[in-house]
Amino acid sequence: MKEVSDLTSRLPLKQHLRNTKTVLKMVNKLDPYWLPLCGAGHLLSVTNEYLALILSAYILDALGRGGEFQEIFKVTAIFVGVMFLLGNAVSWLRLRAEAKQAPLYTQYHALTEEKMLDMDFARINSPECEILKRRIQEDLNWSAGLFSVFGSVDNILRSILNLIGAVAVGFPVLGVMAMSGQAGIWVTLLAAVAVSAATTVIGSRYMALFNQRLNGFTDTMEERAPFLGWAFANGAQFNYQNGKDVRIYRAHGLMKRYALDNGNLSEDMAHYRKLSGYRGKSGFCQVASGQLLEGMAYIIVGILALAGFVTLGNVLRFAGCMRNLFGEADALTKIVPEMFLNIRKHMSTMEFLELENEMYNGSLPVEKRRDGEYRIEFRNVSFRYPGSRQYALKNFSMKLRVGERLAIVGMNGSGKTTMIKLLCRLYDPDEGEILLNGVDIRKFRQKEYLKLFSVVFQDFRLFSLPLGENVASDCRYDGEKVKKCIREAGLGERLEQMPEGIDTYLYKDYEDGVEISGGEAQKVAIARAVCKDAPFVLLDEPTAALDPISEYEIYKEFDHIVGDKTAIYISHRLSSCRFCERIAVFHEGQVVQMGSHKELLQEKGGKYLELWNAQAQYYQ
Amino acid sequence: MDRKKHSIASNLRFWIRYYLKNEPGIFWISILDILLQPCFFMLALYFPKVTLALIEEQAAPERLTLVLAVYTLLFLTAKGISRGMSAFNDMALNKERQNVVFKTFLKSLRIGYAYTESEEGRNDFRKAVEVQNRGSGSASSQFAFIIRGLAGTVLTFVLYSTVLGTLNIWMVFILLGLACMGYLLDIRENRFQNSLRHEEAVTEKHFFYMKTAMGNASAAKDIRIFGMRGWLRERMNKVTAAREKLERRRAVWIWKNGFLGRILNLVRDLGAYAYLIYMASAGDMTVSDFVLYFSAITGFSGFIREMASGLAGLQQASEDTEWVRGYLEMPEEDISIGSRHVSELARPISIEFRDVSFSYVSGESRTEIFSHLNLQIGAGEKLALVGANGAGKTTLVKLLCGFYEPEEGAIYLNGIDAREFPKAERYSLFSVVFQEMFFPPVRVDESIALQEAESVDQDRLQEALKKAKMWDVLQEKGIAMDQYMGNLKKGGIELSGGQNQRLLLARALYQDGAVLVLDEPTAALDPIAESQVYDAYQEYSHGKTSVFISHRLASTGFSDRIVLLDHGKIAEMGSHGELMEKNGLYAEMFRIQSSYYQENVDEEHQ
Repeated sequence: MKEVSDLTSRLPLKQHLRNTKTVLKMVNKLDPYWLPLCGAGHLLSVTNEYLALILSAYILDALGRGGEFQEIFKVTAIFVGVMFLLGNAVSWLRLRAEAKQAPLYTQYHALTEEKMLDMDFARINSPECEILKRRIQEDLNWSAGLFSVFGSVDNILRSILNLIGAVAVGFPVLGVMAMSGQAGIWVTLLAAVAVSAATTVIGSRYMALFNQRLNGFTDTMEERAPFLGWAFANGAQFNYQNGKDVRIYRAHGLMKRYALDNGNLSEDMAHYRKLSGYRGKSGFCQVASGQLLEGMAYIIVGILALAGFVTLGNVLRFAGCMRNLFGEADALTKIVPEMFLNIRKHMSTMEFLELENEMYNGSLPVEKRRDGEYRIEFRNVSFRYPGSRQYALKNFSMKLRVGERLAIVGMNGSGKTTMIKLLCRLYDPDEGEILLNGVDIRKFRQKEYLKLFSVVFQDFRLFSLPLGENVASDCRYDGEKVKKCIREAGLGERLEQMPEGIDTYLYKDYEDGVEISGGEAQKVAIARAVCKDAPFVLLDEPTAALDPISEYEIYKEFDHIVGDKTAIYISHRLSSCRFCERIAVFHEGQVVQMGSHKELLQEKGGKYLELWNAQAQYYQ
Repeated sequence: MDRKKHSIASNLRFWIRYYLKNEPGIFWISILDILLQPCFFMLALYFPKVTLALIEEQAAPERLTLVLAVYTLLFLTAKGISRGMSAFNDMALNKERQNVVFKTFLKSLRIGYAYTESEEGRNDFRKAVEVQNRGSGSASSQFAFIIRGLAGTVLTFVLYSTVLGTLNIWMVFILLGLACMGYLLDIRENRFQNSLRHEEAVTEKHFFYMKTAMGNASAAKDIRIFGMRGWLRERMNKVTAAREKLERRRAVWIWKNGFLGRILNLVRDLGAYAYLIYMASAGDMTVSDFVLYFSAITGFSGFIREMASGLAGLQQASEDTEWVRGYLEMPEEDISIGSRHVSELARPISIEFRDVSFSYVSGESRTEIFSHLNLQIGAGEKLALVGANGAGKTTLVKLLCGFYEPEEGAIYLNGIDAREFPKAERYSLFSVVFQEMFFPPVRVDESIALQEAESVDQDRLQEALKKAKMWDVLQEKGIAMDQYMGNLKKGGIELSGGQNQRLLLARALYQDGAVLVLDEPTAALDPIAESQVYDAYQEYSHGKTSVFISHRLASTGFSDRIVLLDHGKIAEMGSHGELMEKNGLYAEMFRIQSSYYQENVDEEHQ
């Protein structure tokens, strides 16, 4: 992975332009009309602005030469009428462009989440991914995400068009200036431009210092004491139920330190004041240089008018144009770097979007077999979780028999869930291979291969979307089949009570749906697994807080539902798996025992007996 | 929350007080800015007029240069300072708006737990954070921005009126009339925007839900196995499509409403031009005055509408403020002073539930959990609390700790009504292992002890970790106390569910409260680890009153007494032997659970 983006270093202009192109291309891909609409809107709006200047010049001159009211007013009325019509068009174009921003924003910011759907599972929780994601968050923290880019691009379009307008309408003044031969004018002009340019340079220096400091601060985040204010407040690292621990264990001091104080440390505050100072000074310089040029424009045109080179009416026109010319040129020197920076803040997002999957995705199709004859074998598989030194599975071998019921038992960390994760290709083994009908599973098309498995994970997730969609894992589904699965999972009665049947939303996070209990959620997850109708079903320790009887009932019920499919059950409770023909005992990443309950109990000194005794002693 | 409605003025005072206390610069800079605004507006108005007037009277070029240079300098200073100060202020405002969120969060830890857990309390909290999580659109920032703009505009408006009044006092009234009509259109637009707000909030809620759903790492397994990509993506597209439709509707409506406004402006401009051109062409007005008055007329209505929209914005900001203020002004629990102190209690302490009734109330619905419950736990007694899911075990613990208050009856500690102790003190009597695991991503020792590193007694923590059989695990993994938990920092510590559960145990042992409560402390443990916990339980609970809650009846063997809860009632009570002899519900449950572990299991079940 590339080093995470860094906003402080200098970039060559070429790179900036490339960045801009990348982001604008993305925006254009998401909505090809936004940019043209912005451009058209500004074009007409700038036209209108200069029409107003031309009109005022006309009126003043006409008044100056003692024109008639009727004559002057007639021309004025035509101008005003045209400007009115143009104004309506401008408003329409601007509104349409604005209307596109919020949807564009949602689409764009959904891309990173969409990426999470496509990324290798192993990568999702990897430190690289976490750091990049945090970088994205930091990069976008001080801006309004894509809205900042909209703002910058929009501003630049307007500035450029305004600049062109100023030149087109004001260019005669240059001729006048040259003709006048007044040396004072050139001196004034040069002096003002010089002072203004100096102010601009100072202002942008402050802005650069600001950005440098701000981002430099972000870069040292890793070394500084963590600040968790937002993580706590937005629920990422704190749940209201944790309030119990805080009260019982008097964690208020600790919480205050990480949620408030660490963000307001004196060094941080000093830094913050410095930042504010830079912002303030650069704000002053920005305004000052603009006003300086405006004043200068009036002085020059005023002197020309006094010397009779410019009419009274044209004073406003030329001063206006000159003000715009210098003003926009000056503005561009600020908003272009600002746009570059705003766009650069999206480069971490782009980098994230371009992360490539490393997992090999084969091209072999998975044969669809009615008879479910899929043989799976783990052959000398070893695996370590990324960044871990310990093997989760070590030289692990096992065969799954078609149509069998296999129970997997073992202590925490013995590799039970890891085996499932490898089987479902959430991770690939470091050594050894997993074979499907004798072929390494990496050689199959991943999407097709995954169709073979239905898993109810310990930490399964439902979404706050309609019940039917949750079961079908899709927007469109066969209602009858879904209902059947729900009934099979034992939720038939509950379904009857639901106000909208299978279209009822679950929970209240998305729509005002129905709350379901943990047990019911589990049944929905089971219905989902059933609905997938895969030849392998795996049940990984349903909610551990279930009482043993209910747990056994769930397993038993599930076993009945899955019919003649191959099923694998994982549990701590040995009692839950007693209907299984074969029990695999995992220990330290290996299968240490395999056999029926009865056989395993015979093996004196075996792990199974130890586990069994640990539980059984309390029931003797 | 007691939703007291405050006036805008009262909410303004609230923020002024807040800023004066926390960041007084914000207040003073705002005042300065309010005074500067009319200055540069007036300078901008007079600048072209002065230029033209100087040309009209054929002033010397030096004089023109000097006068305009002075004007420019004044203008530049006023506007520059205003802008610079605002930029400075924006940073401070942004800082404070975030601090408000963090203070709101910290507040949520010091008010009644039952409220923070209720749907109402969660909603109040969410709203209080949400109104502060809108960048510069947050309640605290909005108040400052709008007041600053509004006050500046009012002052400028007065000055403009004076200028126009000198020309023609009727002009002021006509313009006021036109501006009022424009204002009515603005009100109409505001009303329309408000009518969309709900729909907009819904699409935003949907967007954020789908965003987190898609990006949720803990759902990633399910998403892949069940091929949910297409489903979630399509849902997200629906959200975007809904937003698009909404925005299109908004654009069309605003354009139509704006059309009426533009017609008003057309009338105003034509009228102004006609009047001014007439005056000037008749020789009653100089060209420079023409320019001055025309800018004043077109600028005038802008100020009125700005004031109107400022007021509307203030109304909204005030409503938003209610959420934050309501939360921040809620009384803290510790403030409710008790007449006794827990230090008076001789340990171990005895506990008595006397005639306790309790129901969960959510809106209209009311679920009764306990009705006139009586239960005594002797000093130093080890009680096992068993029963099916929903029998009321966890509620009982919450009542005991003081998270919930009984509706009727009371809980006595050593015979003293528990309400007589300050809440904060009462909490500290208990060491509880809750079902929900809470490990903030802070230093390892802090995360376990929930205390700041300096105040963690490392020896005692080590002791507690050893008792909970975690010390060796941490040593083996090479985890030091100054490393960080979670994945927020590079090299952060992540442990398995079973290991975390034992850390919770260590936390409870470290606190060493008078009463030990273990709520399903072994749910995530494998059989051997579970058995270790059982074996060590005697040691954990030595010299304490303790309550052990479990589904697993195996846990009852080492308790002095078992209480079987069934639908909020004490169905059976006694020692294991007594209850087995009684041959009731407990005995039946025990037999079912233990049947598998009997030697003849295979015969029985096949």
